[in-house]
Amino acid sequence: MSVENEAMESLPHRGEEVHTHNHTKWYVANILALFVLTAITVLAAGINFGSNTVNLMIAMAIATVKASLVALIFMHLLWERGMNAIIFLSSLFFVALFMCFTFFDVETRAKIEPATPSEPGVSAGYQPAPLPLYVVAPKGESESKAGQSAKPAEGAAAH
Amino acid sequence: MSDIAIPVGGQAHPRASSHSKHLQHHFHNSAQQFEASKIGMWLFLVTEILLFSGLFLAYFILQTRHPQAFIEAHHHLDRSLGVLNTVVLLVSSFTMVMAVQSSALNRIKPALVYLYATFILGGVFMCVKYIEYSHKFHDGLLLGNLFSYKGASVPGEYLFFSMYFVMTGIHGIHILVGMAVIAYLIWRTHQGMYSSAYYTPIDLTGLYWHLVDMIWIFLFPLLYLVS
Amino acid sequence: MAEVLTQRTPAAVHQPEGNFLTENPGLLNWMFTVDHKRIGLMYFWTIMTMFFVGGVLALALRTELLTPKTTIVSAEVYNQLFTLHGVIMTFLVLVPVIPATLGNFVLPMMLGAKDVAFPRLNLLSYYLYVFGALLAVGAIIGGGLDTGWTFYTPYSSTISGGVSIMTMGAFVLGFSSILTGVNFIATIHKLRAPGLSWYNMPLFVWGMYATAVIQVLATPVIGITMVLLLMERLFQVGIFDASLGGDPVLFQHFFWFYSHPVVYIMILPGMACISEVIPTFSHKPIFGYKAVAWSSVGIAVVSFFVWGHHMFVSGQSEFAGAIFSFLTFVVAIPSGVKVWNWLATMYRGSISLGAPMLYAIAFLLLFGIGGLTGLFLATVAVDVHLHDTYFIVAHFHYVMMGGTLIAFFAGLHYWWPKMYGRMYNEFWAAIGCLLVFLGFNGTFIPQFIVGSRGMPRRYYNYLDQFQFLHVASTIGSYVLGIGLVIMAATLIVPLFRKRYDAPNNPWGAASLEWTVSSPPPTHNFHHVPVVTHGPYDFKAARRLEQMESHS
Repeated sequence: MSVENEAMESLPHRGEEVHTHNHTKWYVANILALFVLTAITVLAAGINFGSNTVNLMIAMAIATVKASLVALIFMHLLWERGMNAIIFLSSLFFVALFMCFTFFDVETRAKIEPATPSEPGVSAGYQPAPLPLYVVAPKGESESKAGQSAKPAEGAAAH
Repeated sequence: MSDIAIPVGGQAHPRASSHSKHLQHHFHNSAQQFEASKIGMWLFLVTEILLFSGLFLAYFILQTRHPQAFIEAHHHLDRSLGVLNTVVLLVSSFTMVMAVQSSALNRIKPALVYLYATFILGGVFMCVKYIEYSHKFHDGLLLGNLFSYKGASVPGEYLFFSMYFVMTGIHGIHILVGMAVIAYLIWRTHQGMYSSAYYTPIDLTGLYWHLVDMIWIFLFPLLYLVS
Repeated sequence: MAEVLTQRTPAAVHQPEGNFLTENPGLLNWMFTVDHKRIGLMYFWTIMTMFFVGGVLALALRTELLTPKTTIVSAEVYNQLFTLHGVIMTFLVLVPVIPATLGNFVLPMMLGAKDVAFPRLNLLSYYLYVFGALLAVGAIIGGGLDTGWTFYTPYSSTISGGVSIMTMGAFVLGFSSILTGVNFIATIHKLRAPGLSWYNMPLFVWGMYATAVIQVLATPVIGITMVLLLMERLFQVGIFDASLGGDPVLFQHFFWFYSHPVVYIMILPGMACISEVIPTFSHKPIFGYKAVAWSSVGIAVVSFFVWGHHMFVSGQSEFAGAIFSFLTFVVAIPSGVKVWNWLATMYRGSISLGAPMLYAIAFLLLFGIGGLTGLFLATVAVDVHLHDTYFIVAHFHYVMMGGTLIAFFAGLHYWWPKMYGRMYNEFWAAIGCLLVFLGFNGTFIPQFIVGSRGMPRRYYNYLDQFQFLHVASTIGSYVLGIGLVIMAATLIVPLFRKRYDAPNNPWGAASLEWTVSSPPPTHNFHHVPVVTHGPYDFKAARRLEQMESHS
């Protein structure tokens, strides 16, 4: 076993191969680029691009570029392609899946309007029938119905 | 990760025969062990990404339901502190990657300096966070039923603060965990545990630290720059 | 043939020392072991304890349902009992049962490795499981809960009781499961023996790989869901509560994004066991190796696309419902590929009906019924009628118990001689299998009928006209219980024998774990094995064994 170890260790070490190069210049350039992109994010937030959603998307796009720089250079994905990159990218795929399908539903659902939440933390709680489920009960009733928990009453008192 | 962080053998001659010392019995050689640890770390990062994706999704859904409340509520956050913390974390990522590179090149002294720098920058981040949190606590801008701010103009502002505290809270816990691990690395580096032959724990901690940075990169515009 | 094998390494077979069971004895050595085989066994006994508890709860539930009115417990207790039965069976039994026990035990050996990639994380995974199990049991003491295992909000976020503790338990158990998954993926990538290419891996390993992928990708989402539910309970943060401004079905999206894939965390390892048992007992290489291997990965990926079929009647949009319905049908394709290939493997094979094969055949029948009734439920219009009825209950028990657990029993009987080095009595094993099969069908076929007639699930009382079917179901469950007791006794009794009487390779299988002694030595292999033939090349494996025994 030990003989085998020594034999294997004299072979080039793939992990070391990646790092024996000096990447300091890359790192410095990367951190500067990240600063610039941070500035751009802040500036872009001050501009109205038409709607809330568009602004959000632009901010997320810039953040994605920044995150990619971190992944490629600081996390070395630029130099070590292969399984690690696949693992990382697959996670993004499943995150996208999670978000897209949930938004499919939320955006195409016949609107069940929630009651406007005017009272922080005063949940209507679990309402046995015949009360409609997604409507805030009148205050007195909500306290008595959701009475298992003392918290709603405290939240209301704070107002 | 702790699996690899604890060396197996004694400490008499840290540099000599460090391969066999750190090599666990079920691996054939240290390259194999290094790559296995690395793949394990990437898988762990995947779980972190999926974990945070739930928070991001919840944020997006609440934000689309209550856009006005989110815009109003985010004005209570101090944008300059947000920018400051972003810069602090980005720099800490830089120092972390330099620590990894230095140890890979067997420059242990600089590696130690960079590790200290990363630790301190993490601390600065948490201090800024503490200042921000204490302001929010003082104003009653809190999550859920703890929200007691009187001047809210749009109903549902507390939803923003629910997301704010849950997201930054979980992120902050990750920073603290990262700082604890870096402190451990500093201790071990002082003991002479790491060299270019074995620096896996530093490398893996680096990956973790960059991921935490990456998540902040997304949190920053979502929380501080709603428009 | 078995005689030849026994003669092969007589020393290894009869030696009292030199195996993982007897080397380093003592409680502490077991508790802090990092040996994957010992951890597998520790997992096994712990999970079986939980299975026993969950089974007793199931029998209590069935007993209560003997009459339309109160039989043995009150309605409140009944609600808590079915919740506990669900939580224990899903989170504590079905999810870890095959990967953590059989997977831990045989996967490294199948790869020719000495251990999994991260042995200490493996041990940590076990203790997290124990801790999570204690929290789940603690939830009963902490007030109990009657939310069902799905913890739907706003009910779960507003009632008092043990929901918070159970939530933390589910969070911890999730971590345990993630660690197993991470370990397996890293092990399969990096610790394969020389010559063991991906297409030379036993299909069990492919199944474990696909399972691990789901564990790593889906489990974190239940983690964050549980954290948010806890936040909702503590501070009413409003994310899941529509009356606070949140989205009314968001919790269900979060929950099922994990909990649908988790169904495949349960069934894929079951299929993995079956893929080993059927070729070995048909004495014929698996039909369509690559198709079976890739269908595992296919199932793993598609499993993430279908979670909305749990929400057809939850207020999800019709548009999303239609998409999810279509995608759900897609899952049937890789599952069908597998069943087809197993049947084709058996066709014209010389089948020997050992206990593992009996369970495998039972699996094919029961999983067939479970899978096909799943297609009814994937159809939105039919699901509207059948949703939340006993039809659903019967369907998922056919998949979960008839699929996963029966496959687990197949695997258990298959690898038991390897684990403990003792053969069991084939006759009693067959009797146990028969009773389990009859009892299982006796329990759940009536539930299909009563469900399609409109009996809702989770109800304490029911109409008098349903009583006959409920009584039939209860009697079936008793038979099932007796079958399981006989099975357990058949497996446990040989353990009291001092002598190891199991040969290295009792079934004539061709994968690496059968080349070592039964029970295996602590470090599995004395020399790093070199793989020269496929996992189902039984002729080549026998030739190698004979060559070794002559040399």
